[in-house]
Amino acid sequence: MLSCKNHFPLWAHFVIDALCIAIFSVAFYEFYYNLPTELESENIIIERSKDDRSTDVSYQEEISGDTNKDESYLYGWALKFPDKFTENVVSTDISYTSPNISVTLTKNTMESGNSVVTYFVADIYIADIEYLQSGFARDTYGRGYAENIEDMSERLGAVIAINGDYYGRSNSGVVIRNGTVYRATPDSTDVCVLYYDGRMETFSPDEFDVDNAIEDSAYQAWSFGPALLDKNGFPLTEFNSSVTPLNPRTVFGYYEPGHYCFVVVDGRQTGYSRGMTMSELSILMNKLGCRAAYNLDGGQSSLMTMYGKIVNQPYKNGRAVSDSILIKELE
Amino acid sequence: MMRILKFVLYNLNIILAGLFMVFQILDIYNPKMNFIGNDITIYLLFAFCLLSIVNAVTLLLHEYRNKKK
Repeated sequence: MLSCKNHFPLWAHFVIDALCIAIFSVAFYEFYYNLPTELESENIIIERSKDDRSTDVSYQEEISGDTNKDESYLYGWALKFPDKFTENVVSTDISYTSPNISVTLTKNTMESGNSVVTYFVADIYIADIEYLQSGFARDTYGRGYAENIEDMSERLGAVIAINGDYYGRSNSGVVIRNGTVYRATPDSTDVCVLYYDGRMETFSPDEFDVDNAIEDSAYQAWSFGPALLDKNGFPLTEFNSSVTPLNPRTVFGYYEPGHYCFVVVDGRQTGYSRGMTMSELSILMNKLGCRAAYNLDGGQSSLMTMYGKIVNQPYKNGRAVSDSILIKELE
Repeated sequence: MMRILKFVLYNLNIILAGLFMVFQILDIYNPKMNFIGNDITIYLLFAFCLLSIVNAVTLLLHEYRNKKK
């Protein structure tokens, strides 16, 4: 044993050390994760390729067949779903239709008593991919920047919006937003890519290659996960995630180019909504008919707005987040 | 002076070890935040390793001198 010839008792060393550990942990968290710091973007612009045919005239003729004269306002993917769009904007509390966008919001419950689950599904049709956009908190790509979804939604003029993958809480993970690669460094999470041609695919960390995504005209990419369905659209039983127990959830679902859904499951509120496990979420997305589905940031972050107003009942009134996914009219 | 320096280094070693234990636990619950692998904790880890070597060498030298006596 080393001699300890001072008047400072030994136990005091350990108490002070423990206090220092607590203080430095909190200080590090605040400094590194909460102090707004702009990040350097890789700034790779992905151009929309000639193969993205949603607004190509010959493609429109191909999918529309004999277009009814009364439906001359239809174009792009709207030609595939003519009954979903309207010539003029028609908006209610739970729906919005225009020549460009169709959104229908439903509130659903399953089970009962203390096991009740409440979830919201926004069924979305868009005529062109650019009506689906990502938003950054305070319009800044950075760490520590956070904004409420309702404020972001109002600022950006969103019809409907959900929280994203909270990229700002991590220093790795692919970030592609609105056709720009901000960060190309993958991490250990599943990746979801939405392409300009309207397809959505999910990849495991081993499968994903950012160069391939760029070459295939990626429009958006998120890193949180996990993917909820296999390549054939069937539910999974194992997930690349440590957050599999009951929680509030946010999901982006895909049916076909032009048809998507946002799903938000409320949770941690016994008697109103207990949340969902990842397995339950996977089964739900398969039941909704999705071909691909991707889990986004959940917990207190899970929030959906319509016309800038919160539609679900987020845990502890939600929290400010670093990014959102939204449907909006183009100016 | 040397005694004070030693005690500072020993306690700093304990603090850094404790910090990394906290970060490891946080990473288990929220791996996306990557507390252990970010660009600042990499330097802290280096400092921790260096301090551990310095303190271990100091201890070994002390033991060696005690044996000689």
